[in-house]
Amino acid sequence: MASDPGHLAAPVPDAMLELQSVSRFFGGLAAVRNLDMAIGRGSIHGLIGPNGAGKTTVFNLITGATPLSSGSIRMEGREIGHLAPHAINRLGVARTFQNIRLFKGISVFENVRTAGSWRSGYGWIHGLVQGYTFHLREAELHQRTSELLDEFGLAHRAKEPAGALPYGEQRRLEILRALATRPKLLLLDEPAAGLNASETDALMQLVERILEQYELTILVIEHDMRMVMELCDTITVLDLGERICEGDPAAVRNDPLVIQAYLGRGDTVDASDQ
Amino acid sequence: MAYRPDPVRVYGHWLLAAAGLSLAAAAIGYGIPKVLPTFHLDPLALGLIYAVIALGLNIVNGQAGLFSIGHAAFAGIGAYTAGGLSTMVGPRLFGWGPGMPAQLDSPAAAVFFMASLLAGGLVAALFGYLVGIPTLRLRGDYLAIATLGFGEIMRVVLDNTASLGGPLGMHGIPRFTTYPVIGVALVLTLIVCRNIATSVPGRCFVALREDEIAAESLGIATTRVKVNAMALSAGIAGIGGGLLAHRLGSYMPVDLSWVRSVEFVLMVVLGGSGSITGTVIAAITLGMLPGEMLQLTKWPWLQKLIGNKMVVYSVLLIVMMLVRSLWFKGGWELSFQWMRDSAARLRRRLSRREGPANG
Repeated sequence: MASDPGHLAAPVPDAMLELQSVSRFFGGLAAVRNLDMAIGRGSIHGLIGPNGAGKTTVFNLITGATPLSSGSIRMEGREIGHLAPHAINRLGVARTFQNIRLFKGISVFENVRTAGSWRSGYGWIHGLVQGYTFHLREAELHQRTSELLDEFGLAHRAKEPAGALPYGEQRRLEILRALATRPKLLLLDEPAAGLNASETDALMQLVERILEQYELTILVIEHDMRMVMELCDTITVLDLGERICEGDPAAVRNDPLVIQAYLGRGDTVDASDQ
Repeated sequence: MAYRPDPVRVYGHWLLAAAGLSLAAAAIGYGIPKVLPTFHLDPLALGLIYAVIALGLNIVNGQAGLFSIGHAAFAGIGAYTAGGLSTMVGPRLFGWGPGMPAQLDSPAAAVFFMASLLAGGLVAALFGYLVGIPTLRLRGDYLAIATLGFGEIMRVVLDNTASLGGPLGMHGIPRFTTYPVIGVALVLTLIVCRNIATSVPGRCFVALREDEIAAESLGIATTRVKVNAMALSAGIAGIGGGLLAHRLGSYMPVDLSWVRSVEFVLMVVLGGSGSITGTVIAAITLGMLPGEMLQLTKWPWLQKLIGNKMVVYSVLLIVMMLVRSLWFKGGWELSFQWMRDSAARLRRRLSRREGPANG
């Protein structure tokens, strides 16, 4: 991994994603205000903060689901702030959703295969004629899909409708589906929400594995502090739409502003007890 | 390296499928009229043509999950375009007219008929595209109302266009839609629908239906996919409308009304929303019903008992809706894969039955 937690509070030299004074207003409410953030290539970057801090809005801004009010977002140096979500995905950003958004009515296999479809390498004409090129590209797509399912232990579920999977596997499938678009940057929105301790451990292993295997950069929103502290190289803390702290887990854990944002003003409390 | 399909196998299957489908078209076109009693032929022809239109609608309503109640209008646009070409341009080209009935007696006339059907489809697709751009931002009920409004606008416009016959509509359209024509058109429509459904464009439609936001986040350009779906769907309905006009011999603005659109929606819903097989079966059944119920006049006592055939139609609809889940379970298709799977299942069951006897 390219990251070195020690110096990341300083400017990131090789940034995968850079946010510069990004703001988003809903009416008079600033959901995100003047946010600067840089995510180093190959790192796991955590985004935490109390409820309503604007974390998911940041995700929606990065993926283009919500338009920017002002500021700029650059992916590998390229401005993506004005692009539609599908165009941003094609530049290498994939995401999961806080409230799982699988294609529930179709099979697990179809979920993953559909996600890889814009990389299939054929269009309407080949689809209509179904000659050799179609079969070749379909075979490749089929193979990529099966490999992904095999590798992450969902092959035995391939034919089942995605909505029928247990909750933990739905979370896993959503990550696989995002991986099927072969992203460079993966955004995980509360991947451990609703998982028990052992499922969370499995999830952490999965995240570390895909990080290395697919040469990913990961930005994760998470409330599970054990996971965030163990997994992340750098953590950005948001409160009321503004960045209140950024640094490695140890620094964030002891930052008085962070403690105050989570627990309110009062006597000194050790945030690691959470 | 990755698995590469064998070209000989691929094109072998391709040719085999082409041969099989040609046979199917021939069976519909030449077999059915020979085998079936004459009084069933007209209702069945309507059912088969409705299947074409319903297959078009199935793309938006069933696969892409965009609820349109305007497809009678798209079919009507195709019918008026193709019918107009046959009644206004055809006579000048081929000397059709009083004393010289229109017929498909030369290759040029046949090509002209095919071209007019295609033109009907293209004009309908263009309307689908134009309607799609502003309305497809809407979802669910709102899109339904917008397409409903479009259909009614088209009906009223035709009602008031004297040059197209006004409320009396278009008459004297040559009856070119014979069984062979229907056979070829239905088989071609099936191929298009099946091939779209089993390739990337069709998967994008389904992704749209399942979750638009997720689809967009996975690199699917949802707006463009929607407009494409609408144009394709309207185009197929337009071709179906052209066929219908050349079967009935006349086409009226009433045929564009929302009541007709709802009939097409019924066929798609009854067929299991998204299933090609189901849509075809439902469209043929529902399309035949009114014509077949005319046969009731042969049994006056039954007719007296029922009173009005629309009552029977409605009751049948309710019954079919109630039991439809029995046969059209979630996206079932009569596919080669299904046949292979069920053959394997049957073999397993048979071998299990034999197993204990042997052992």
